Amino acid sequence: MGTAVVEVRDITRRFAHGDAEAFTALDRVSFEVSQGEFLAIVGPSGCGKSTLLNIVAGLKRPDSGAVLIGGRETTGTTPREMGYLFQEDTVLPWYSVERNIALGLEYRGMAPAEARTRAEWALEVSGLTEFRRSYPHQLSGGMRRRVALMMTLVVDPKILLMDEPFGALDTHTKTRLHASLLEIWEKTRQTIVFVTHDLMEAITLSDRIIIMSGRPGRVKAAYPIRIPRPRDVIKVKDSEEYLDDFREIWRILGEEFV
Amino acid sequence: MGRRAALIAARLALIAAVLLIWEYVPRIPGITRWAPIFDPFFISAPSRIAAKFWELATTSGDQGVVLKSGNLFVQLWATLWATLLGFVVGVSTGFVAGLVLSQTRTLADIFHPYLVAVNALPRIALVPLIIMIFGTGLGAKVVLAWLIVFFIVFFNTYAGGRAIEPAVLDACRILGASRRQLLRTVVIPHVAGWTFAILPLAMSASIIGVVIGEFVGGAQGLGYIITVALGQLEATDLFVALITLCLVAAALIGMAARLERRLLHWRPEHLSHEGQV
Amino acid sequence: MPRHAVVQSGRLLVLVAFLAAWEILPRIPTLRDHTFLDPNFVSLPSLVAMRLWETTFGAKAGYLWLHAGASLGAALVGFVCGALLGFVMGLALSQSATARGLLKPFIDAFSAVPPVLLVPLITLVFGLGTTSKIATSIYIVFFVVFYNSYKGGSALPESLTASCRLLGASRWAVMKTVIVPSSLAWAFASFPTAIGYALIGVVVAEFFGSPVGLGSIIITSMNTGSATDLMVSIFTLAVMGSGLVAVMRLAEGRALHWRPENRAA
Repeated sequence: MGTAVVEVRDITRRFAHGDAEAFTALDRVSFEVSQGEFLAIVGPSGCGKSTLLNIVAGLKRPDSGAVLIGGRETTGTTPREMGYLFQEDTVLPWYSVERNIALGLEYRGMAPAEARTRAEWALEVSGLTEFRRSYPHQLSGGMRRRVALMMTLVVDPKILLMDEPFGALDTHTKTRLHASLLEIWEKTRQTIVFVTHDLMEAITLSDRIIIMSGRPGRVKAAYPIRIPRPRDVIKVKDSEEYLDDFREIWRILGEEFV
Repeated sequence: MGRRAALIAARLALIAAVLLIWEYVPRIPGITRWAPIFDPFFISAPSRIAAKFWELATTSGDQGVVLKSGNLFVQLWATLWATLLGFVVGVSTGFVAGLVLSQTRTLADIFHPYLVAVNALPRIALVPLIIMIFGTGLGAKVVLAWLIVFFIVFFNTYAGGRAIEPAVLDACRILGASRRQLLRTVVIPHVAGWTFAILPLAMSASIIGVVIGEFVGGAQGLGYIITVALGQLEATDLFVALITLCLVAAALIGMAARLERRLLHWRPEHLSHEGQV
Repeated sequence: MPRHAVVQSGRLLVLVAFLAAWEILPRIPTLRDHTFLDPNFVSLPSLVAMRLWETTFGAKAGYLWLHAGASLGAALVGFVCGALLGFVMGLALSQSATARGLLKPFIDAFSAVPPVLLVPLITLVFGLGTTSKIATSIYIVFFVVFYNSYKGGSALPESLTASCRLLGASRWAVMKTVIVPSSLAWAFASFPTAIGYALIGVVVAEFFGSPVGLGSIIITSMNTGSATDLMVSIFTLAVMGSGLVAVMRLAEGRALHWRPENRAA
C-alpha cells in the first residue's frame, strides 16, 4: 500500500493495582499501519486496546518497546500531526458548536480568516451548520459526537486515533456517523487507527483488522477487509465479502470465549 | 381552569385565615390564659404592622420607639451595603483561592484534611470572635460576611477544580493547547461553572453573616433594629424590621439565582443546585 | 522523596507551623499592639488547651459538659420533632396534588428566607428559654427533611411504581413497599445535614440570652473579653458538631445499607 507511517514495536505494558498481582495488559504487541490506511483494532473488553492506543498517542508510556511515527521514535510524546478522538464526551459545554469546532485552530494560532473557512467546511460537511450557535447541552448525544469528530478533523491530522468513539450510541445514530466519517475520509484519506469492540463497525469501516486476544493483550491475527471502496454503510452489510469477513473474524474471536 | 382558580382561591383563603386569626384571636378576652402565645404584646397584629409601615413611609417625624421614620431605609441600606460588599469580596477571593489550590496538586493534597476540618467548623460560631476583634462597624460586618461566603465559594470552586475530566484536558492538549490556553479555555470556565452554581447560597451566606453580626454586636442595620426591638419588647417594630429583612433577603437571593442562571446558560437546568436550607 | 511522604510531612509541617505561629506571634509586642494578633483577642494554644482540660476533666469539670449538653439536648429534641413533621409533610405533599398545590408555595416562600434570621421572632414569641431553642431546631430541621422526603416520594421513576402495580400491588401496597421506603430513605439521607444545621440554629438562639448552652458562653466570653473561653467554646462546638454529624452518618449508613453509596469498601 504505502510506507509504514505508524510502527508499533514490541509494546509491553504491565499494571499493578496496589496489592493485587501485576497483570500484563499488553504483551509484545507489534504492528504497522500504512499511509492512508484505515486500521481497526478489535478485541474483547479489557484486552488493552485503549491502553495500546494511549501508548501510540504518547499519553502513556510502555514498559518496553517503541512507537515510531514516520520513522521517528515518538514513545511518550504526542506528535503535532496526530489527532485523537476520545471515548468520553470532550466537547466543551460552555462554548457554542462553532467555537468548539474551531478550538484546535484557535489553539494552533491559525489566522482568523483561514480558521473561519476551515470551520465552515467542518460545519457543512458534518451537517451542523444550522446548529453552529447552539450549545452542546441542546444537542443529542449523536450530534455531540459529530462535533467532537469535527473538532479533531478540522486541524487536518495526518494520523487519527479513535478510541471506541461511537460506543455509547444506538445503531441508528452510529450508522449515520459511519457514513459521515467515511464520506469525509474518502476525501482526506488520513491514516486512521480505530479501536472498537463492535465487529460490524470494524468491518464496515476499515481496510484491515487487527484482532487482539484478552489478558494478556496480544496480537492474535491481522485480517484484511476485501470490501471495495467507496462503501455504502448500509448496503455493505449485505455484501458477500462482508458476510465472509464477518464469519471468519467471528470464528477467530470466538476462540476467546472458550 | 376552574381547578387553578380554586387553588389560588384556597391559597388566598389560607393567607386570609392566618391574618384574621393573628388579628382577632388576641382580642378575645382571657385568651392569653389558655394560649399565652396570643398575647398581642408579643406577637403584635397585622393592622399595627401595616400602620407602622404606612407611618414610616409617609411621616418624617420622630415617631417610633425603636424605628423612627426614615430610619428604616438607613438601617436597610446599612445591612444591604455590608451584604453586597461581603458577597463580592467573598466570591472573588473564594474563586481565586479555590482555583489556584485545586490546580496545584501537591499543595492541595497537603491541605486537604485541614480544609475538610475547617469546612466542618460552623462559621457562625466565629461571629462573636470577629466582633470581639473587629468591633461593630461596617468593617467587622464585611469581615463576617467574607468569612462565611469565602469558605462556601472556596470549597465549591476547589471541588470543581479537582473534578475536571482528564480526557477533556488530554483532548485539548492534543488539539494543540498550551498550558495557558488550557487554563483559559478549559480550567477556568469549568471551575467558574461550579462557582456560579453556588452564588445563591453565597448570597444567603453573606446575609446571614451580616445579620447575625448585627444581632450579636451591631450598631446599625436591620439585624440591630430587630435585636433592640426584641430587647425592648417592641413587637410591632420587630415585625416591621423582620419583614423588611425577609423581603430584602428573598430579593437578593433571587437576584443571585437569576445571575446564576444567566451565567450558566450553557448548563442544563437539572445540573444546578437543588433545594437548599 | 516519594510523593506520599512529601504530602504527609507537608501536612505535619502545616500543623506545626500553624500552632507555632499561633503560640508565638501574639507574644511579640509589635504584633500584639498593632494587629489583632493579641492574646486578648485570639488567645494561645497553650491557654486554650489548659482551659479545655480544666473545664472537661479538671478543676472546673462539668462546666463545659453542662453547656454542651444543653445545646445538644435542645438540638436533638427539636431534631426529632422537626424530622417527624418534615417527613410526614414531605410524604403527604408528594402524594396529594391538592395538599401540594395549597401548601407547597408557602413552604417554598418560607424556605427562601435563611432560618437563622427568624430566631429573634421565635425568641419573641417563645421567650428566652429552652422552648425557643427547640422551636428553632424544629423549624430548621423541618425544611431540610421536608424537601428530602418530598423528593423521595415524588422523584420515583414511573417504571418502578408501574412494575409493582403490574405485579398485583394495590395502591396501598405500592405506598407501603415503594413510596414510603423511598421517601424515608431520602429523609434519612438528609439527617446528617439537618442535625448540623439544627445545632447551629440552637447556638444562635442561645446568642439572644439563654442562661445555658454553648451559644450563651460564647456570648458571655465575648462580653467579658475572654478570648480563651471563646476559643474553648468554639472548639467544643466544632467537635460536637462534627461528632454529631458523623454519628448521624453512621446511623444513615446502617439504616440505608442497601444503597450503593453506602457500600463502602
